[in-house]
Amino acid sequence: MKTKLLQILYDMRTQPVIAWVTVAGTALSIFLIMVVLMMKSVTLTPFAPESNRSRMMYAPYIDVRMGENNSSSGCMSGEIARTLYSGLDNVEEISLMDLDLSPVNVKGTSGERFVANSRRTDAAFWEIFDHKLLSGRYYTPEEVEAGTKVAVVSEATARRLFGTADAIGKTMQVDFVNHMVVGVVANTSTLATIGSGDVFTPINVHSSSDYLPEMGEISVALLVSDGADRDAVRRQVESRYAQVNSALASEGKWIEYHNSPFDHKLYTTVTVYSNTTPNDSTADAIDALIYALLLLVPAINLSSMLHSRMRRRVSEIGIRRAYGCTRARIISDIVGENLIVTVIGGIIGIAAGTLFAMFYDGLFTDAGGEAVRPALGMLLNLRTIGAALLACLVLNVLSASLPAWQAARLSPVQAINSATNINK
Amino acid sequence: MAIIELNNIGKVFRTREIETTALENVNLSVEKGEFLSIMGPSGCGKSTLLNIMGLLDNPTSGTVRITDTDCASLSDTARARFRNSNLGFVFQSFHLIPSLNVAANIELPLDYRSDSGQRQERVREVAERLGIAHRLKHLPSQLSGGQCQRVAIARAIVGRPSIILADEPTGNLDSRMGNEVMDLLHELNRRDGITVVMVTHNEEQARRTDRIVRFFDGRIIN
Repeated sequence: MKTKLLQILYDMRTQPVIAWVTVAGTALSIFLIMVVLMMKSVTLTPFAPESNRSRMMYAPYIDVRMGENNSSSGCMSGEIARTLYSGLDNVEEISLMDLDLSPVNVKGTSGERFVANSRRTDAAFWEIFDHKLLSGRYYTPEEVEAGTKVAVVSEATARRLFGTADAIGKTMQVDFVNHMVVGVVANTSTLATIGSGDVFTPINVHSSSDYLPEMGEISVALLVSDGADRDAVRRQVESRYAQVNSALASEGKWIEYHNSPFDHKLYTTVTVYSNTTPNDSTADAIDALIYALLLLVPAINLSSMLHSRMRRRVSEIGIRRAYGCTRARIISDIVGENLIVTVIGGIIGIAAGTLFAMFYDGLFTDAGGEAVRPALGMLLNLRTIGAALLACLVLNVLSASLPAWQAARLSPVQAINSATNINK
Repeated sequence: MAIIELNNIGKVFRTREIETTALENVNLSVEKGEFLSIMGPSGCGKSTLLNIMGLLDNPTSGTVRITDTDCASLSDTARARFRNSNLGFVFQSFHLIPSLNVAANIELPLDYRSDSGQRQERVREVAERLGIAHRLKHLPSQLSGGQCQRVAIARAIVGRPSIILADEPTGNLDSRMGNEVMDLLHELNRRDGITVVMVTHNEEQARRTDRIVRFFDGRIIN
């Protein structure tokens, strides 16, 4: 270890440009990997109001087929949503809701009219997503059932609408329709893509399309029990599809089952289309490709720089071999030295990633909104740092293996007598 | 008793275009405790022969036996271990590792041994014997040529080898320092019984050794 450190210090003194570019290249690579990991982390790490991410499943659409070339897909009717997803074993709660935010035009007593992010939900939504109620109450199942024009707003929205957070009982317009504010909740990060919002209103749980009664405005979020077998949940849903389809057969229709409901990771990682089955392996392959590119490109550059450093050490390798160093030891020494350099670069990269998480976390949220910044722990945790260190190791192996193997391949006499190209 | 036996050694260097014969039918036996000089004009194959004796290079034909071991049968790893235990090398251009200080350079052969005990003591003992103990913390770049060669000799003997192979050990030194290095090699030969095989162009230094083998065009001519 001491010898390796001496060698690294010597390289930094005698070949400062190559040595520092190597460290900087490693640091940049690890930093980029950390940023990607942090972006991943905020989509998967549980935090309010999505503290139950690990137990969530989603069914955004149905795909109704009416023959080989005739189909219609999109959100579902309230009746179909309940038929397919209500009362499943190991499902603790189900919410009929918008899984996506919609922009709505809002106006309060302050007179300002502006666009806010709206989400329509049933009352069960408040059981699944842990919003912090600052004042008032959530709307009730009865109000949802009756389609009462009430709203829950975020604190920031309340201040903008009324100039104060004390908004309970006040009237606001949502797309030019008057609603009474019954509750004010704490602001939420836009990173909570399924639970957050500025304005929440009751969804029409009886919605149904005139054209196709199976379709409507409803998507479904399910909260499954801890440790529930998700495939078993899906099997139940599939069997419900079969029952619905047997009833629809007389009309020449069927609803295509696309392996719903989807896990949180799948739903938030890949684009889910209404008429295809999303694929977990596609998401994993895209992830793998991103990480491979992030590692491979700098590894090639670092390998080339290590190769250049090794060319200066050809005769030294010959001497080491003459005095009994085996090929395996040459490889392990070079990889070990490179590992130290990579770890130094990695630590700088992790430090840069940490500073980024502390000071530039706003980049993770949508620009311009009243978004709450993500907590540091969401971005930076043991998993992220552990993965960054693992990336250091992989980067080291990728960049050092070839130069180390080439150095070990030299015959001692060839190395001692020549300061020529390592490839020779 | 022969400690090194070379039988019918041939060495041919081949490239795509040409084939060069460096050694042809060389037979040589070196006795235990002998101080042997190899002389000859540049390019006659002296260093090639020394490299083959040191198991740094393979002959194209013939057999090499060192301390009764048939070296042809050794794997690459076994050859490395054999060199570590039995051979010490001294080169014309010292070949010290520039990033390591004198102590670490001397310690190098011990670093490749499994037993790690008493290393520092052994390094100091050898350094004191060679008069470089006060330089242990210095880098090679801070030493004179003579001191560098002393470090190289210290490195060659730190592992208590039975044979030292020296390739023009005084070639880069002035005559005074060259004589000092020669005195050291003779002392190691006489006092410690180390067999020394030295390639040299210096007739006077060669005459001080037990035997001179002369080379010409890859053959022994005396």
